[in-house]
Amino acid sequence: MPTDLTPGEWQEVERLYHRARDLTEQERATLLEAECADAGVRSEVESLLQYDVAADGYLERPALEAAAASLVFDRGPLPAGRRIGGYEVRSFLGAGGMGEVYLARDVRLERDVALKVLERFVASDPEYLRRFEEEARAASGLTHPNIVTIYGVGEDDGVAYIAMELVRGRTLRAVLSAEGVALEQAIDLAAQLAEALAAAHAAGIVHRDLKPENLMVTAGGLLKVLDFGIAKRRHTVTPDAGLTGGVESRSDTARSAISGTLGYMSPEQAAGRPVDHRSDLFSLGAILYEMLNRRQALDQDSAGSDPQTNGRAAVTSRAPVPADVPAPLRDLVDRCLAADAEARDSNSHDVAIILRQLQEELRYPTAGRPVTRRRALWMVGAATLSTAAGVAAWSRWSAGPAVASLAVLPFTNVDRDPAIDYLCDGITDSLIRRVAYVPDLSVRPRSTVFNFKHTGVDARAAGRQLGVDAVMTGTVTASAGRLVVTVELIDVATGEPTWSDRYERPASDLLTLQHDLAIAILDEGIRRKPDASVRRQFERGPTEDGEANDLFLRGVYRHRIGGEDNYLVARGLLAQAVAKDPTFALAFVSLASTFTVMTIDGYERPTTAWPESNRNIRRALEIDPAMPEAHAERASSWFFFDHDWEAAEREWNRALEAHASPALPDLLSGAALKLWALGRADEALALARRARTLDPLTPALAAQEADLLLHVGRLDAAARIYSDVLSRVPGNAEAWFGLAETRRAQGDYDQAIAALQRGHGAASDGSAGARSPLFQRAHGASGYRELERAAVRLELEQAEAYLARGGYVSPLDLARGYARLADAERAFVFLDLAFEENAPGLVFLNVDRAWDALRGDDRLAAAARAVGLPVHS
Amino acid sequence: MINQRPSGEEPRTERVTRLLAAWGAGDESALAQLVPLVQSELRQIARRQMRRERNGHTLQTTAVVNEAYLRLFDVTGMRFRDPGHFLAMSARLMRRVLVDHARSRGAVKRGGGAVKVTLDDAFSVSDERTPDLVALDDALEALAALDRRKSQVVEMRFFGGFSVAETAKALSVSPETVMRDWRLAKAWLLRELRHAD
Repeated sequence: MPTDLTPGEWQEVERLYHRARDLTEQERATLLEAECADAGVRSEVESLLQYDVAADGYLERPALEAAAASLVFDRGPLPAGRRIGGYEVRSFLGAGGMGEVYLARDVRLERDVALKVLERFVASDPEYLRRFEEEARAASGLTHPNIVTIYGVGEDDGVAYIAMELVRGRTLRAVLSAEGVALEQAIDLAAQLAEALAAAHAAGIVHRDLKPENLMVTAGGLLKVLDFGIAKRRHTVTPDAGLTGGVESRSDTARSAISGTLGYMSPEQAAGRPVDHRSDLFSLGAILYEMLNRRQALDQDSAGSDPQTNGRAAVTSRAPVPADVPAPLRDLVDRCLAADAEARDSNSHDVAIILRQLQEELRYPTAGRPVTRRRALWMVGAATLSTAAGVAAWSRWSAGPAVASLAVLPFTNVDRDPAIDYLCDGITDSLIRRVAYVPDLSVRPRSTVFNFKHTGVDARAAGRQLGVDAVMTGTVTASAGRLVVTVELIDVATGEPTWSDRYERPASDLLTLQHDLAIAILDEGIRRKPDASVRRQFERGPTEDGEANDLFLRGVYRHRIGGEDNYLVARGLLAQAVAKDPTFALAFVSLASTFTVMTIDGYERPTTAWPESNRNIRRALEIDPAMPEAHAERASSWFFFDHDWEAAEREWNRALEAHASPALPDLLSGAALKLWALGRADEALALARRARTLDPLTPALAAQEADLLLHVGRLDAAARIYSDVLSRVPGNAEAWFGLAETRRAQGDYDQAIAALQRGHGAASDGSAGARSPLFQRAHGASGYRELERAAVRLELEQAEAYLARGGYVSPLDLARGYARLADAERAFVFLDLAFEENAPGLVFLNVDRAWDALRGDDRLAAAARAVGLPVHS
Repeated sequence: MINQRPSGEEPRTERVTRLLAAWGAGDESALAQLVPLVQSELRQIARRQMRRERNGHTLQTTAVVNEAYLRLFDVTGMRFRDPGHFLAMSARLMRRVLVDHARSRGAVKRGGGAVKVTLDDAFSVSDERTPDLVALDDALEALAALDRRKSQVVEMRFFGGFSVAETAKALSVSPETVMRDWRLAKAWLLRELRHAD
C-alpha cells in the first residue's frame, strides 16, 4: 500500500478512519462520498478499515509474554535437515513445556511427525527427565483416536526426544478465546474427551492435568488429548474394583508435590491427597462448564491462593450453567464438579454414554410426545428390522487355521462428520449381513457389536469381551465428493493386524465400494472359499441401485435412532428407496417395520398402520420368500395384531430356519415375549436367557430376562441383572424402573425410591424429575406408592394435553394409566376403545403389572378371553 | 562513559537503571551492555517460572512479565527526573532485547530452507500465533517515518507492556489520543505485515 501521504493527508486519513469505524458499509460510503475529495486519502481509509476488525485482538498480549516460552531455551531451533534418531527435522513449530516441538519426517515410514525435543537445561534436571520419560511411557501404551499417539521415544547425540502424531488444529484454549463453541460441539468435544479418558482409565492411567491447553481440536472437530505427562499408572487395582475402583497409591516424592493446573484441578488433587480417575472427571466437568459458560468454573486467583481449599469454596460459588443448556447436561456438570469424588459419576465410560445420548437427542429431538413406559416391556423382539440379519452358527466353533469367529465393530466416523454417520453404520451393517452367510464362521450379531459404538474401547479389548478370535475395524472419511474407507482385521490373541486395506471411490459409487470391500474381506481377510451359492449371496447386495441403497442406509439409520420424528423421516426415505428399486426386499421389510414400531410405541393408530405394515411385508416375501427378516416381521404381526399364536410361532421358526443356526437373539426374544404373554413364564425365561447368552451386551435383552425374573419372583437374580446393565449403561431408564420395582418387591423402599428417581432422571420425562421435592419427602411403602401415582398422573396429563392439541394417544395407554390409579371405570372405558382399534398391547393383559389393581374384576377377565389369552377362573 | 563495576557487587536493578539513564542521555555503548544483561536476566526469570510450574507443561507467561518488571525496572524508584522518559526507554530496551532474540532464532530457522508451517495449522504448543517480532520491528520503523508518535505508542503498549494511562503519561498526551493512535497503528501494522507475507 502506498504510504507516501503528506502529513496533512495522513491527518485526514486518521480523522476519517475514526469517524467511519463504527458506521455500516453504507454509511461509510456516504461519509467518504461527502467528506473526502482526495482519491488517495479515500483509498487509504478504505484499505485500513478492512483491517479494523482483525486488529481487535492484535498485539494485545505484551511481547514479552509471547516470547517468554522461547526465552527459556538455550539455543535456537535445530536446523532443518538435522537427523535425530530416525527422524529428520523439517521445521520449528514452537516452544513450550519442557522443550521445543518440530515438524519432522519419519524417514523409514515416510510420515510427518511432531518431534518434541527436550531442552538441554531440562535434560540435566533429573526430575524433568523423569517426567519426560513418564510422559512417553504413560502415553505410549494408549492407542485411541482421541489421544495423541506416541510413536517413539529415545535419545540421540545427547538430545532426548519423543516422536508423536502430528495434529493439525488448535488448542481448545485458542478455540475458546476466539469463537467459542456451540452447545452441540461442546457436548461432542466433552464426549470425545470422556471416551479418551475411558480408554486411559481402563488401562489404569489417570491424566491429572486436563485443561483446554492440553486438548487439540482439528478443523473437522476431532479432539486429541495431549500430554499424558503427569499421568500415573494406578498401582492398586483390586480385582472386584475393575475399571472404577482402583485408587492410586502414590508413593515417595510425588505425593507431596501437587501436579496439575489450578482452575481445573480436583479438590483432592489440590489438597495433595491421593487421586484416582474421578479427579479427571472433575477436570472434564470444569472444561465442559467453561465451554458452556465461556468462563472458568474455578476462579484461578482464589484457588491459587490456597490450594487446600481449592474447589470446595470455588465449586459452590461458581455461576450457574445457563438455563438454555438442557437440564441433564447441567446435572452432569454439577455431578462432575462435586467437591466430593464419591458424588461424581463412577466412571468416564458412563459419562461418555450420557453425553452421546444427549447429543443424539439434540440432533434428532424426540420431544413433544408423552412418554410411556410400556415400550420397555414390549419393544424387545418386536422390531426385528434388519437387525435380525447377521448371525450364523453362533455356537458352532471351527478350529481351522482361518478365522473361526469374528466381530465386525462399528466403523469409525473419523472426522465426526454427522453427514456420513449413517454410512459408517450402513457399511458395518452390510458387512455383518454378508459375512453371516459364510459357513463355519461365527459372527457376532449387529445388536451386540453396536454396543461398542462411541465407546472408545480398543479393538482387542472388544474382541476379548466378545469372545472372538478376530475383530474387524474400519474408518470412513468423506471429502470433496470422495469416500475413503479403511479396514483392518485384528488378531485378538496377538493384537496385531493380519490384514488391512484402503478404498477410495467417488461418494456416488458406494455400492461398488461395499461390494469390493466384501470380496476382499472374503478372499484376503478371512480367507474363505465358500461354494458358489454362498459366494453369490455374499457378493450380492440387497440392491443394485446406488440411489436406493443410499436412501435405504439413511432410512435405517434414522429408524434406529427412534422416536416419532425419526420414524417418519425413515418411512419417507424407505418409501423412496422402494420406489427407486421395486425389487428391494429388505427396504420393504424396513418400511413395514416403521409402521409396526410406530404402532407398538403408540404413535400411530393400529387400524391404519397394521394393514400398511402387512402390505409391505407381503411385497418383501413375494420378492424373496425365504427372507428371514420378512418372516420375523410377519411373526410380530400375527402375534400383536391377529392374536394368532400358532401362526406367529410358525413365522418365527421360518425366520430361524433361514440361517442354519439355532439363534437370532431378537427372534428368541420375540418368542419369549409370546410365551410370557400366554402365561408360560418359565419357558419364556429360558428363551430370554438364551438370547442374552448369545448377545450379552444389549441392554434390552438383559432387561427382558430381568423383567421375567421379577415376574416369577426371583428378585435377587433380577436385581443382579438390572444392576449389571446399569453399571454399563447408567442412562437406561427401563433398567432403573425395573430395579425400583424389584427393590419394592424386596421391601427395600428407600432403595426403590432412589432407583425410581434415577429412572425418571434418565428418562428425562419431566415427571417427578431428579430435582422434584416429591423425592425429598418420599419414604417407605407409602412414599413409593405416592411417587408412582404422581408419575402416572403426570403421564395422563401429558397425554390429555397431547390429545387436546389434536395428537394421537393410544387408548390403551390411557386405560393402563387409570388402571394403575385403580380408577376402574375410566380404565375399562378406554380399554373398550383399545379393543376397537386392536391395540397391540392387548396381548399383555394377563401379565402387564399396570392391571394388577383390577385383577379381580370380571371385565378384565372378559377382555383377556376376547384376546384369546388363557384365563383361570 | 560509564564507570563499570563488577556486576556481582551492584544490584541488578540499580545497574539496569544506571545503564538505562546513560543510554537515555545518548550513550549508545550503554545499550550494548544492557541487551545481553537483560536477556540473560529474562531467561533466568522464565526458567525459574517454568520450574515453579510443577507439571512442566505450561509457562505462566504473565508471571514472567510481572517478575521481569519487578526485578529489572525500578519503576517506582523514580530515579529519573522524568519518569515518563524512563518508561519510554524501558519499552525501547525491551524492543531491542526481544527483537534481537527473535532475530538470532530466526537466522537459524530460515537457514535451512524449512517448510513454512505456522502454529495455526500445525501441532500447537503455544496458544496464540506469536507475531513475527523481526517483521513487526521493520514495519514499526516504517510507521515511525510516517507517524512517529504512533510507533511510540506501539512500542510502549506492546514491547513495554505498559497501560494506556502509563503510555499517555510517558508521551504527554491524553489517554484518548493513545487509544486512537493504538487503534489505527494496529490496523496499519496488520495491513503492512499481511502484505509482507
